[in-house]
Parts: sequence; structure tokens; C-alpha cells
Amino acid sequence: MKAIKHILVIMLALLACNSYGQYYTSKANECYKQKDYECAQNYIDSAIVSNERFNSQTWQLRGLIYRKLEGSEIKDARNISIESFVQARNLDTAGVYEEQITNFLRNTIIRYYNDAVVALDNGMPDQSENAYVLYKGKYKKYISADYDFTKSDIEYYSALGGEYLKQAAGSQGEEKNKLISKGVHFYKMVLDQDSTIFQPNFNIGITFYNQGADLIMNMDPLTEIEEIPIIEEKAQNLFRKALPFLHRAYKLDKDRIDVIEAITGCYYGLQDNENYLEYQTILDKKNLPILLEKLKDNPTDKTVLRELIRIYRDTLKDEEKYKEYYERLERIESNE
Amino acid sequence: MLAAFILSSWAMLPPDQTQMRDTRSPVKALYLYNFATLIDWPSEYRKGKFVIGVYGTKEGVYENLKTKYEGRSIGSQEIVIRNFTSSSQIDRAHILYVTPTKSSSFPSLESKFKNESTLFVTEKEGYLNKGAAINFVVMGTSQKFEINKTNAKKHKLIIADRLLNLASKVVE
Repeated sequence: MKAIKHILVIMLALLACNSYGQYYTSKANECYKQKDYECAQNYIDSAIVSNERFNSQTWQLRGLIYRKLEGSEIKDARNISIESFVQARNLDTAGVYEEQITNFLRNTIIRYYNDAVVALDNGMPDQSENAYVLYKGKYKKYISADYDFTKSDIEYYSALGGEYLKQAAGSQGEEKNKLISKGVHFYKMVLDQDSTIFQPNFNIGITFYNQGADLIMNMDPLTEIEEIPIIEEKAQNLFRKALPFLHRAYKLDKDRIDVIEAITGCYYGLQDNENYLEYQTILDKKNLPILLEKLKDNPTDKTVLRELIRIYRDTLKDEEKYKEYYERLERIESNE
Repeated sequence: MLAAFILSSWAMLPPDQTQMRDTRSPVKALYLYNFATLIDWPSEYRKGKFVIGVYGTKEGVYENLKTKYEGRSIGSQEIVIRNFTSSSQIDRAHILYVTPTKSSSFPSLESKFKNESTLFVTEKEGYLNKGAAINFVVMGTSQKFEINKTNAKKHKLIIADRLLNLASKVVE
């Protein structure tokens, strides 16, 4: 509504100007109203090489016309539009149109942000980032050098990091590692702005944990014995890298079972039994009611029985219950 | 086109969420396979199937061995992976890995198999002195193994120098 109001203001002003020798601009405006933007472009480009070039409104109209020409064969129409608005502002020395021109600029520059969002939705994160950088650069240059992008950066780079990691999940080898590095890089950018956000902490932590676990789980079965400690060391370095992020995520949300699982997995992989048991106990306490419920539904569920045996033997230590479930499992297995 | 588009919320979701995985068992399974390639059994054990047994639960090491090694070969012998939950089930095996939960029954097993060329692999502190030829140990954060050459010899097993050199401890 505001934009329409602004355009009407220009039109009225241009009507008034017509009698004072704004021929090309008026003609351009007529074409613009009729949505004949090619015609409008021809007149407005003539206007800016005539005496009409000293009128702020001529440049404002040029900005609007070129904005409409975006997507046509005219290259860089958006940039021409922005440059026109900037020129319009330079000529508006009294600041009569300042607010209006700033709105035109803002609504044009925001298209770079929209490009970034569309590219991200279409799975093109590199292109998306370029558009976002352009958006910020132009916004700072033409609208507000001091604008605080913190909120926007957090939202955008979280989404960008997420997209890279999403793509990494469907990739293999070097490409996967490259995508993971990019995803982690952008999540770290988010944490540099605010380290207390759960999701980037969790996503980075779980990514490192998965990378380490994958190294072990996907070892070539014919790996030479000398290679085993090398792979183990690589995996453990990733578990170590995961832990600070996972611990921060745990502090932020102590109820998330997936966070506790990942922390437990890291300590397990690091052969750190003391810490492993601490987190496995927390995990088991949370999971126990679910397991017991499952066993109620299916009293011969061997996976659940094995879990209960482990829990009562290793973490929640209850000799009686351990024996009970152990014997139950033995009975089931001997009947098979 | 004048308003800012909204970022989809999916982008904030975890990328590749997973449950905790057993990262210790694949390492032990790989070591066990390598033991099979670096130890010599007497000639009467070099025919038929090559049996690797796991005494304990079916998860973990057994599952890893079963999925990764069953059907492969040691020399001309096809590998078979077997799981034993009670000592009475155990018969001839080239390698018998005794899981920590079954360690207490190891001494009786060892005496039952004293005349067999079975490589006993345990995972309990001090078990090299109780008859095991190889015992898994953790040193620092690393999975290692220690060897008792005398116990191996008792079962007519010859351990390659390459394996001895990698052991964290060798008892002569």
C-alpha cells in the first residue's frame, strides 16, 4: 500500500512537471502506467540524457521502470534500478523525497535477500550465500551503514548451515567432507553471534559425532592391523571436537535424549568409561519407563530384554532385576 | 516481491540425526579377523571351515563378525561365525572370543579345551595369567591387545612377529 501511495505521489508530481518541460519523463510515465515497460525504458533513458536528468523524480521513475524490467533481456536491470534511486536521492538535496526513495531502495535491495531464500529452497546454497552477501552489502551502502544484521545473520546462516549439512547427508567421500566443512563453518558463524542457541550447537556436535562413528562403522573389513589405531585416532579426534558443542546443547536443553545419546556415544568411543557411565546412566533413567512399557506390550521382545539386562547390570545396578530379565531372555532363547 | 521471503523451518532441523552407535565392537571384530590372518594353526586345523566363536551376547562383536566376515576366507578355509550363550554349546573353534560378561567361566573353558588349538581371546584384566593367549586391553583411549606366547604355544599356535610387535605387552 505504501509503495502504491509513493508511486501515485510521483505520478502527480510528474503531471505537474509536464508543463515545465518534462516531456520524456511524462511519456515514460504514461508507458509505465500502461505497463509497457519497454516503451517506458526508451523514454526514461532519453530523459536522463536531456535536461530532465536534473529532476529527482525522473530518476525515481527510472528506478521503478528498471525494477519492472528485471527478468527481461536487460542485463543488470536491478542494479540500474538501484543506481537510479541513488541518483534520485543525490538530486533531492532538500530531502523532500528522502523517505520515499529509501523505501524504493529498500524494496529493491530486499530482492537480493529473496533471491537468497529462493536459491536455498532450490538447494543452491553457494548461489544463495552470494545473494545474501550482496543484500547485506547493498543495504549497508545505500540504506543504513549501521544496520544491525545480527538477527538476520543468525536466521540466514543457520538455514545455510542446515542446507549444507542436509546435502552432505546425501553425499559421499570428499564431496561429503567439503559440504560438512561448509555447514559447520556457517553454524560456527551463528555461534559467534550467539553461542547460546541450541540448534547450531547440536547440529555441529552431532555432525562431528556422526563423522567419527562413520569412520569406525565403515572401516574396510580387510583393513591391515597397523591401520586400526590410525582410524581409531581419527575418529576419536572427531568425538573430542563434538563434545564442547554437545555439552553446550545439553546445558541448553537437558531433556533432549538425542543430545545425551551423542554425548554418551562420544565418551564410549573415547574409551572414557567414567564419563560414559555417567551419561549412560542419565540416558537409561530417561529410557527405562519407555522400555518397560514396550516390554508390557511384547513380553518376548529380546532387544528390550537385552537393554534391561545391560541397564540393571551396568548403570542402574539392580542384581535382582538383572537376574530376572537375564533368566527371562535365556528361557526365550533356549526355546528357539 | 516487495516483502522479505521467509526461510523454511526445515533448515533448522538436525542434518543427519542418529542414535548412539557401538563404535567399540567393529574395532575388536577387525582385530579378531587380523589375528586369524597372523597366527598359524597346526595342519589338522587347516582344513574345513575356519570357525570364529563369540561366547556371550549376540550384539556387538558377534554381529560385526557375522555381517563383515562370514563367507570370507582364511587361506583356503571359509570363515564361519558362531555365537555361544552357554559353555556347553561350545565345540571346536579356531578363535574363541570370550566377552567380558562371560569371563568368569573362562578358566573352566580353558581346561576343557586344553588339548585343542583354540585361540582364546579375552577382555579382562589379568586374564593372560589365567590362560588366554590374547587379551584385549584399553590403554589411554586406544583399544590394544596383549599376548601370552606361552599360552599360545600350549595350544600349538604360532604367532607372527608382525602381531607380536603390535601388542602392548608380550609375555614370553
